Amino acid sequence: MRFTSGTGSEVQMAYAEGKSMLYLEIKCVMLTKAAGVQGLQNGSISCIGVPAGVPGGIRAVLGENLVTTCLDLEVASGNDQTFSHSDMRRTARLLMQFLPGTDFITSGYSAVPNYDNMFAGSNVDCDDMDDWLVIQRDLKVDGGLAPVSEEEVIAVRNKAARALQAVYEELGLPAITDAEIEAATYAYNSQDMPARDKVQDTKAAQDMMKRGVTGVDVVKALAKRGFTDVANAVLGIQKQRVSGDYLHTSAILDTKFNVIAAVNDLNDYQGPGTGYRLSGERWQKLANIRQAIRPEDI
Amino acid sequence: MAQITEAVVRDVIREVLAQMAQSNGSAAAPSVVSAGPTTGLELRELGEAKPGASTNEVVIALAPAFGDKLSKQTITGIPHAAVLREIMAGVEEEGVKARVVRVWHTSDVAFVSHAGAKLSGSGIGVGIQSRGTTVIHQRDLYPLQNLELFPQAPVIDLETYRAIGRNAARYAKGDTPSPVAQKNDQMARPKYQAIAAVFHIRETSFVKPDAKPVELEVKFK
Repeated sequence: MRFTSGTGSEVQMAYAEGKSMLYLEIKCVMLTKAAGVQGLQNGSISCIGVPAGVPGGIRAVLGENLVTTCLDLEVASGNDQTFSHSDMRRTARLLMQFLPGTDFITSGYSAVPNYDNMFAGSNVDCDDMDDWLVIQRDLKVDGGLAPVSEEEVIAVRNKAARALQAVYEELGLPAITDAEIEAATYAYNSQDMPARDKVQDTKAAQDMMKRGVTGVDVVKALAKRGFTDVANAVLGIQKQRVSGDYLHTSAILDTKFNVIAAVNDLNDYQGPGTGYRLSGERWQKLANIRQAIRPEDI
Repeated sequence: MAQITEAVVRDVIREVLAQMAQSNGSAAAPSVVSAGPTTGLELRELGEAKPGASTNEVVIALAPAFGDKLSKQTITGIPHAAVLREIMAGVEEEGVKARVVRVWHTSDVAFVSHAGAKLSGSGIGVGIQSRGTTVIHQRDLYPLQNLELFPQAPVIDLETYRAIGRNAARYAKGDTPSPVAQKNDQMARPKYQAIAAVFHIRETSFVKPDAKPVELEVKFK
């Protein structure tokens, strides 16, 4: 369970009452702690245009993330919304959390191009993924992304589209055509996709809710149609929602659906050179970006 | 080829209408084409707004500063008079009456719209803030729900306001229209968020927390 707050929201809503943005945000951080909630999404978030509009504002944004961490809360540290056309500014702002590391460097990274981002534009989107991977390598930071090949990506996208088609059919939802699957496998954005009847889709979604379709029905549909690994993955997530263990502080799931969180993998940071260090197999994997050239090949 | 300007088009229309009036033997001056775009708006308070009896109405609820205070323009400089005229025209185009009220007790567009919806005989209300942010609301929904939300004031144009009026009327008649198509500008926040905050702070300064919604008489000039 995580709250969200962020500098600039009181200004945006016209009730800052003359107080500094950072002062008001730290009150929110302390209230979060007092409420017994394990973590906080902050770093201005949707109001980033407001602190970014005043002197020292981006410094305050770093300050609010730092205070959250000092109070032993998980921090999902923003970097999620557009505030500038300048690539330098949006990267400078990002590096404040990227280099020292937070629980989640971005609380939202747009996996689609900003053109299709219905959350009013992300600070980083899929066009930035190559840069993100290189900067991970430059700074020796695990920023959560790993290099992949184009072939792997195409295969996964195609499989996902076919799995969706199967589930839609099993649940009696408006059909996904083979043309849509082909388009979805390679599409950059929604302009590359055939049109769908949105009114029918909305009605079908409402009907699905009335029928009481659950995640288990989705799992069954996937299993019936031969997508066994996807069925297991969806089932694994459903089980997590029942147990709730991933709601613990700084929780992530590993590839076997084990929860790794502050309660079973304590933060043992004691100063420079201690605590979590990117090393070994994970470091090798992140360093091995697809553009890397081996000296032997020259 | 000569550029065709708006002035040329208006001249041609006037000329044609004048000729038609002559051939009809009528001396009536053409009233269809106005002398210029609607920029003037007169709002007169008529007393406490009452719940409507007829289902054939949409209530248009104005936030405290809309129409007659501050710059009287949206965040992109569209005159409030033109905005209100388009929404009302859209409602009336669908054969539904448009009733305009002033909400004083809040500047929050969701609560402004919901107040309008609760007063409306059809249960359908449209709320507008001075910066242009607009909501189509329904009385049985929670305040922060809506039928349609237009959250990016900078991308709303007059054509969209007209469509909002039409859709509100269609909801009032019990239809399920396709939602009004909206533009999405992922760079609206960098360009406008700080300005939007100032707009909203100024509008909120006119809030009277204990004042009830007031019925308005609307005159366009």
